[in-house]
Amino acid sequence: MFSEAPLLVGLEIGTSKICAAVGEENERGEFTLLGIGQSKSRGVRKGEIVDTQKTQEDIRAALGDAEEKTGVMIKNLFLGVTGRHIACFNSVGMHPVASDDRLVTEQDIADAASNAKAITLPPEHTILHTIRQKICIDGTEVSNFTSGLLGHKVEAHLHVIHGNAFRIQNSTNLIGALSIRVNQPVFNGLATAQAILTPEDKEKGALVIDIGGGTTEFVFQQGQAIRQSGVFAVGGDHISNDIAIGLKLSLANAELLKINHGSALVDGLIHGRRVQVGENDSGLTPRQVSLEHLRRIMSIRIQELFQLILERCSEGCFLDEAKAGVFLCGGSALIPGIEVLAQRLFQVPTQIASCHNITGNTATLAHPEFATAIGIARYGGMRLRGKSTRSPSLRLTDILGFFR
Amino acid sequence: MNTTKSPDSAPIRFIAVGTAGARILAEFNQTSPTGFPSAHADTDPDSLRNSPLTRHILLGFSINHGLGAGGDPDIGRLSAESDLPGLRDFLAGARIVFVLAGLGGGTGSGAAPVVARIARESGALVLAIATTPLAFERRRIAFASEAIEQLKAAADAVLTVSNQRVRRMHDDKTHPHELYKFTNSLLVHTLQGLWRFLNAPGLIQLDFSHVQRLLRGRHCESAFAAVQAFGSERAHLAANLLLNHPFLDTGTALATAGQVLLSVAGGDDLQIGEVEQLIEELQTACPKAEFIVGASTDPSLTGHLHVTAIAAHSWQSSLNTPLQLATKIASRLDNPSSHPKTIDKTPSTDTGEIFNSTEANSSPPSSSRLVPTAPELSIEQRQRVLVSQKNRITRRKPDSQMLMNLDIAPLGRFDNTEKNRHKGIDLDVPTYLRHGLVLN
Repeated sequence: MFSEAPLLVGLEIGTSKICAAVGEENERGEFTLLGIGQSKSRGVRKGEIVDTQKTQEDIRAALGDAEEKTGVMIKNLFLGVTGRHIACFNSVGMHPVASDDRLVTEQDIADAASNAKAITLPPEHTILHTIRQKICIDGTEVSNFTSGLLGHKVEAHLHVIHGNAFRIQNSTNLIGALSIRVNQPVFNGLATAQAILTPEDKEKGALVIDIGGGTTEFVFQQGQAIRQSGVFAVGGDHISNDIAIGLKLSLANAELLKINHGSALVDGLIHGRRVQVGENDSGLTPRQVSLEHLRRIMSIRIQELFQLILERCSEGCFLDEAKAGVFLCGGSALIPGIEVLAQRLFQVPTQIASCHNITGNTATLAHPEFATAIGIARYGGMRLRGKSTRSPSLRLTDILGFFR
Repeated sequence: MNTTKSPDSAPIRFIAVGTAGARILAEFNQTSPTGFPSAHADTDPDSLRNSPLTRHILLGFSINHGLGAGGDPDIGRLSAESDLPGLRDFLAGARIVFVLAGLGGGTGSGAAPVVARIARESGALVLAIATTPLAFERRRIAFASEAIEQLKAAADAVLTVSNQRVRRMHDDKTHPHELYKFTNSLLVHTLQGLWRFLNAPGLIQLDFSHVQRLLRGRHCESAFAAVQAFGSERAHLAANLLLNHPFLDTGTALATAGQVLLSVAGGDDLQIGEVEQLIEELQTACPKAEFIVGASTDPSLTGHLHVTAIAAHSWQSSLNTPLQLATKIASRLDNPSSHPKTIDKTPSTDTGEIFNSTEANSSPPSSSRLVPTAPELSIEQRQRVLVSQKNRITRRKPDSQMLMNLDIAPLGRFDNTEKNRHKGIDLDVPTYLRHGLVLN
């Protein structure tokens, strides 16, 4: 009976941790999380692998952990990719209806879409995802294409996510070396949105911000379309690094300080308060730093990050359309007060995300830092089913193209 | 004052160059007779005739024919150069020489650097103490600042009092004499402080070698002040006075100083606790400064506390002017292991003399196989060559003052990673630095 439900494994190679989510999906598309394996990540900076040796060890540890916890054997997986090299943009492709009777055929739409994809990418870049935003026939949007419409011109609006092929291949090769097949690379941001947004959230429109260790991904999804997405190579590491530089601490102490005393908000009450740095096991007088400085450094970095996202989202769309609001996830979403800061900046309701419409260990699902791995596995499930909820008119060839 | 040390063990000489210097020295001798020889060197015989000092050195009678320097530092300098034997006679064997001069005139500005040079050449530690003119004396200001540069090159330490600064401490109705008197008394107090520091029997006695170690080979522009206080709270009062003294930039000069010479003098009732309290208070206010303290007693000061502070706030090479640079380079060529004495060529605007020195110094390199010897030139040609060389060195000056660009933002953990540029800004640089957030 298990043979009918394929095992879905999502692997996220993050800057601070490597996380493998194992789940399965029943025939109704309901996803069940079986378990999560994780390991500390030592060879990744800003979302990109800088030390293959260590990263390979860490991947092995994370997958081993997942196998141990779930009692399954991982043979293939979906790999999440991120990093500065990932770029996202909206593209429009046009195609004139060539037939004499001006009847728009499926081929016309496909041609318009391929025109939209025929964009000049940087060399060695490859397209990761193209997501259909909308189809217009003579300027009028058609929601769900059914043949029989007449028109002169077909427009396909796509959201294109592309990245450096070598870097993606590097991670794929690392997993290949462990005799595990990579089904398909998935952009982390896209996967995260699938894990935490309910169909209602998607319909209303939602901005998902995943602040990880070294990168921050954001996806603005509305209906089935991705309105905007992107990556900034700024994450929790940067916050720690800022603290380390600003307060002249070691990175480890800065990290501890961030976790124990950090906040995204600076309120008047903390003025003049000082906190002790690190563990006092060396017998030396512990150093004390100003709590206000700590929080100011953190707050200004997080604010800047949100500002960058806001700028990008304001290109061509309005954030007001995200009626469901902003969903924060990733390890840095645990910083106290971060949702208040986000709400102030984005002017829409904000919440710390947890994985909905997924069954499994509730404690695990509530953790915002596992959302990406779970999302990758879930995204894999959608792919395997061959019917993505995002893009109903996606053709089979589009999907098969990924199974190279 | 008791001079416990015999003149032979620490032979100190005072030499005043010009009338202004003589006045200060006379006042100093009156208030605290040292017993050490002091002399008045001047270009003007009339001035020497009226001199309050007993030992006179007439400079450059063959040059100025007894008419003085006439406000021209060049004549002052040439006069001194022409009577080097007289100066050497007086300065021979000294270990510390105080050179006192009022800068701005012909004798003070011209001859004082020469005297300092001769003193240093005789192996002494040279402390030049000088006053600078008021701001409205434009021409004299220029002479004085040139003389200070030269003094810095020649002497081990230069202490200057700006009359303009003293002027700012007085109102418009002050009589000029009062102004100069104040300046003089300040210098006298400082001299006394230094003197006690070196010589008087003390609670905390510092050796001559301490001062030498501190000052020798370094050229410091120093800020200094002398204060006195009495009463039961005198230590606290003196510390406060020092920390708010206008000559120490109301204390900032002390706070930024690397080393501070502190001479504390009191009567027989001076207590070690007071000295402690004073140092404690100063050290608290100026945590960076290293205080070198000498404390001494003088029965005539009973009930009083005299404190003299000299803050050495900029240790820097005195070789700032291009000419000095040239002479230094020249002397290096001459003698690779340049002994301090050999670099003390008096910088001069007199082209003939410079030429002589450069000619003398350029001979060793020209004996090299690769460098041809200099061609024979007429005097006119020599001057032209010299002027062009001077200009060349002047143009090169900014190079020798290059500062390293330290405007590099720290990246910490992301130091060796790919640049993280977004619209021209580097996101790896801490945001608070880019936004100029001040963490005090």
